[in-house]
Amino acid sequence: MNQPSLPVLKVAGLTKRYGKYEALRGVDLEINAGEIVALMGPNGSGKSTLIKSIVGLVYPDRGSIQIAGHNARNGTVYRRVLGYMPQVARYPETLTVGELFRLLTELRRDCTEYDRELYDELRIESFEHKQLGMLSGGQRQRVSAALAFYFAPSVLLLDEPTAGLDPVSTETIKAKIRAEQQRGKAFLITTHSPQDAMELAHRLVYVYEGKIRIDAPLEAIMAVSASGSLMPAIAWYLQTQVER
Amino acid sequence: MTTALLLARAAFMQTLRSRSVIGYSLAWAGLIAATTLFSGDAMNATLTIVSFQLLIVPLVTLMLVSLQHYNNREFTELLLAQPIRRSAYYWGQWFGVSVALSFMHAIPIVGGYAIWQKYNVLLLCSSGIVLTLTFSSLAYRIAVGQPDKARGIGIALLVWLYCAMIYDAVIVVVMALLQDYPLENILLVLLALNPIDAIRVAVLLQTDTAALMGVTGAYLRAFFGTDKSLFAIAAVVTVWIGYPLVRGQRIFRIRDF
Repeated sequence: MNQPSLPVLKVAGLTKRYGKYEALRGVDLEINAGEIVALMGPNGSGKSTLIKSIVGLVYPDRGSIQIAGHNARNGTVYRRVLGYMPQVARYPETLTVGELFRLLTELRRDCTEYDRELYDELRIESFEHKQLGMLSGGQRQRVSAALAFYFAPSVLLLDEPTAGLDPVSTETIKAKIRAEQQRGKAFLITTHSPQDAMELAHRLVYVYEGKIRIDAPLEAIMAVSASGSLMPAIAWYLQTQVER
Repeated sequence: MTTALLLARAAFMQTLRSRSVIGYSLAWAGLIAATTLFSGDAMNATLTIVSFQLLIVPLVTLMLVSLQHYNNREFTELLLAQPIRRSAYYWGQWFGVSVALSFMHAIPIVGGYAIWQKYNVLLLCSSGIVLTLTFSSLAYRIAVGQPDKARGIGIALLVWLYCAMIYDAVIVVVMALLQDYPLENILLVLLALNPIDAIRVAVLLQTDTAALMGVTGAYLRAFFGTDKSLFAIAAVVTVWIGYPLVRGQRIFRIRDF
């Protein structure tokens, strides 16, 4: 893997409360160009809130987010460099796949170059005329993945990108992530799959109860694992290295 | 095409193809056909259809618009993750859905008129569209402000119950309790508190059916005369459409998804 270089995403002191519940508690995170970061943690730990805050779907109470030099609080320009794949790909049932892509292409007038690689490799064209309500969960997930890459973003936020996918599509998406990383793109990928994290990521960020508990290169984490498995290594890290 | 119009076009197409909306349009067509065939004259047919319209359109619009908003949650997130302003999405979505619902409501009226020519087509179309716009605005405001789907639908149902039923009971109680006092001003204020009543009075003011106008309508006409009354009702309905939308936009601009 190429070694990462320039920071393209900087999150500092991010805090988000929902009433009494603190979803994020002073999260600091930097991701460099050409880096893949796996974001892990149990359900409700704050992973999706963090990603949604970066995308602009959640307004944090405190903290700052810089993306490719743009402050995420100032306008929508920063989203030109963002690709987002949501966890749930449930889109309007009566629109066709083709109409969805056309709508987004028309909306994204800022974009002049399209990345159709995943669109072609995931064979989206074969069900382009189908209404989104007629697609299987896997097909919708493929549409969602192709959309995330379609406008050639330089920072990609992928929320469980391989969940519910068939093995061929899973490997296609993983290959695409690796190829784009080689081209200098940055990735923040939430996943529950240790295998995906080990295969793709340079760095692992583990979130628990709204705080980052582990932020370390994957190699360093794996070095403490006798079995070669990620989860025991994370458990060891949490028990011995992290102040609880 | 501007971003808002692109989004309005998508919302329009999505709504137009919805099975529930097609079902609504077909059911409405059936009701119009039955009413027209069994009504003696044009006035009778018009007033019967208006009565159905005042009851059905608010309920169906409240349900369809709020359900579409809740069911579109992930799509909304996908769109708002693009470099587009939230306000463009907000206005585009409302406009597209409202125009589609108005269209699907007006088509059976125009179609029925083309066949039987037995009712006041302009009056029915305009009242139906104004009702649709009013209640789509209210539904949108409710759905934007209430993230929980079950609660949102519950509130929308309560709004309909208030406008279609509870309000009339309130009027009767006010009249009974305050029968010894001059009620004109109170009733004029009460008229502004229910868009269904305001639209009903506006429709009846344009027909020769003062007897059906109800207490608030009769007071309004006596107080303002027909033309000024229509103007006052137009102002009231404009507020009913505009205020929830403007308030909803403020909420939508800062809400979390």
